[in-house]
Amino acid sequence: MEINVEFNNEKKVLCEKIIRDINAVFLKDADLSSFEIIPKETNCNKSPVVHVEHNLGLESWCARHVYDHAHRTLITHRRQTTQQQLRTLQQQQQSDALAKYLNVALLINPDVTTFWHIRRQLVQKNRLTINKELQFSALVLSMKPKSNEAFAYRRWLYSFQSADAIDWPHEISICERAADRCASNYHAWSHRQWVLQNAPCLLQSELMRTEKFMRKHISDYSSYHYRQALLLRAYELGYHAAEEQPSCLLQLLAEYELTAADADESAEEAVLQLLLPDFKRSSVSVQRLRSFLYCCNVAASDVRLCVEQRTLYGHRDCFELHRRAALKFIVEQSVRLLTGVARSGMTSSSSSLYLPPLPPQSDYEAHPFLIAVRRVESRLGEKHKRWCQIHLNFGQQAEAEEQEQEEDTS
Amino acid sequence: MDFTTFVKPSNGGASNNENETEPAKKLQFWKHVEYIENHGKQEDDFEYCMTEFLRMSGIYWGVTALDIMGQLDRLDRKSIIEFVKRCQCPTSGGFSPCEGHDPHMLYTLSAVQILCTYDALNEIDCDAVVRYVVGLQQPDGSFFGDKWGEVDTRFSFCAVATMTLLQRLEQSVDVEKAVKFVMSCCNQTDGGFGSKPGAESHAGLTYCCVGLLSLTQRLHLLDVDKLGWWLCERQLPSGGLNGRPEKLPDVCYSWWVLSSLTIMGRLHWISSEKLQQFILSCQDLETGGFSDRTGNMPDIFHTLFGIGGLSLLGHPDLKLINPTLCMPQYIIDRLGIKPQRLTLA
Repeated sequence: MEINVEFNNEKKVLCEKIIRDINAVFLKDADLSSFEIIPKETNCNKSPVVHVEHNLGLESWCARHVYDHAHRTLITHRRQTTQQQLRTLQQQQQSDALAKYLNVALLINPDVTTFWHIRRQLVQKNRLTINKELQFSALVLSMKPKSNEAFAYRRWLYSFQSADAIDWPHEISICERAADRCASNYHAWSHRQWVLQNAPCLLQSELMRTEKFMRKHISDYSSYHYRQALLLRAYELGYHAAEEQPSCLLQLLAEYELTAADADESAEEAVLQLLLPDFKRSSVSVQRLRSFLYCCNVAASDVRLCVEQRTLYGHRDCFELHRRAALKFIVEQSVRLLTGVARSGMTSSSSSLYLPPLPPQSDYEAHPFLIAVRRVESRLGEKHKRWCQIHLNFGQQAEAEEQEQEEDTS
Repeated sequence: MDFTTFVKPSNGGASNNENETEPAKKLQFWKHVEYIENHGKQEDDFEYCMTEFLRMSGIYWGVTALDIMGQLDRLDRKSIIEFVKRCQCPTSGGFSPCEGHDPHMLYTLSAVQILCTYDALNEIDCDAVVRYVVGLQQPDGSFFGDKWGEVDTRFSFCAVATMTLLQRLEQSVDVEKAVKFVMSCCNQTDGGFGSKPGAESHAGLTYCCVGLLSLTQRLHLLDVDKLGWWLCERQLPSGGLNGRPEKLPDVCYSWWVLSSLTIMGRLHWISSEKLQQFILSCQDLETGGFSDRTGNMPDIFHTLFGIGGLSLLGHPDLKLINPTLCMPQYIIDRLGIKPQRLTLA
């Protein structure tokens, strides 16, 4: 038993030393940007803490012991009475000690919610500064890009700052880096949506960045979903780029065998006639119409992108899913304008909340675009046809009528 | 306090009657019982420490899986109840995953689920739990996970499920607002649900939202065709189910997708045969337990959902599991709870 006690003490002393070494790096390097566990199962009798440029590493042989020790220390603190805990947090030396254990524990196991809570309390007591904490959470993300706790912590920290003081583009780059490293990184993209909500001015740059990301990470559906949400948001806000002609949209319509009646028409006018025939334009604002054209044009370019990507890489679920979503955007927004569901004026409410369903397909008969879409899309297989029926409201009755028409003309 | 002290000494394993050919195609019943019983026994300190932050849920997974297998008496009821009691926070009323950790909505539900299974709700302060959950609801109907302010539809489900199990749903949270918030997390493009408004559709979060609608008798708000379609798209050629497009199959999604489809009366829209084969292929033939996919290491989380999925598919060796609350059906019946379910179509 004595040997055990001695061994445990030795272990404790060693762990304390390693924790000190790790925190020494924190103090020394104000620009520490990444942490990783270095796979090294044997102890070569030198420090397991590695510091190269702004990268911190901890050799794996000691990780379990160090974590165990830090964890026990922190939980012991937490098992005290609330009063005792507050006293510790209040005291400079004691709270500094706590922070040292937290740094190590969270780098090795970022999932422990309670440890992040202790940090929050330390921030509230001004023992930790917001900027350093943002840096720490970025450090955790370098190790675990999917850590929702780290992202949630950042959102909490930012609640103490005013929106215009925050470097939002930097926050986007944190999201992008995390998404780049981990495919379908749910929390990174969800955090990105939060950034966009707070900084709608980034809409244009986000449209550019997401297209690049989609081209590179072809199977990362989270990025495609984000783009779909981005487009909905852009339309909700009535966003449009100045002086841009909807040429992609015109091209898409041509693929559905639809062209302007008058060859001299501007692209804008041609598209409006094809997508919104007999539409009373005065019933909506100029901004709404411009936004409609702009956003549908983006959707059309996405349809083209998906087709191009499929040619380049072969079938991928993402290409098919996003193409459908983009097509649905154009169809749905056209129908909504025509049936008066979207009135003039911008709405800030979520576009997904209790929206009325599309009108029954019998109303489509006077609409060349919808008829064309139904005809062309129906040729793309039974499964896709079923999707169109569910999502674009292309009913089975119309299908029978179409078949009749085709038989008549043949 | 660790899970091992909850386990009574084994009575010696029952004989394994499986034939030698195709063991992976049959449910390794007694191996799984052994796995869950022994869970925590061989764990060294490191593993114990690393997963301590979810201990309460770990116990709920083990208890539920064993009960579905009719082997609940292999665990020490008294110790488990004592553990749960010690985890109730005296000030907030919520439950921590383990002593020394902070209370949270997730572990509050797990605690209540465990006590319902053991018919021991009287052992805790239920009023305090109600106060805790009600206190976390926000003006927009969403729920914080704890006082620090994270919003997620998982917490909405936890809140409503906890209140339902305590028979206090009517006089506690604002159900109308809770439903409204959940519906705002529905993505029109595919009919699925995410963690927050606008977030990507995800099978696990879809289960939480469909479950909440089931508990609040509001399934009519779902677009069953759209959502059913999206859920069926989760089935891959291997027969397994994934959680979102382009992701690999995972046994836990077999639960979340399957239970959602069952609640929606559309279970027959996926291929049960192939799914069952996939789930069975995720068994660890040496140690027992299920892993996330074929060939990986098993864990207690995937073991529950593997067993749960097989129960939904009607496996004869398993008791019925309730798809909304992920608890044995007989317990839900005993509590007189009737989550809504759509008729088969």
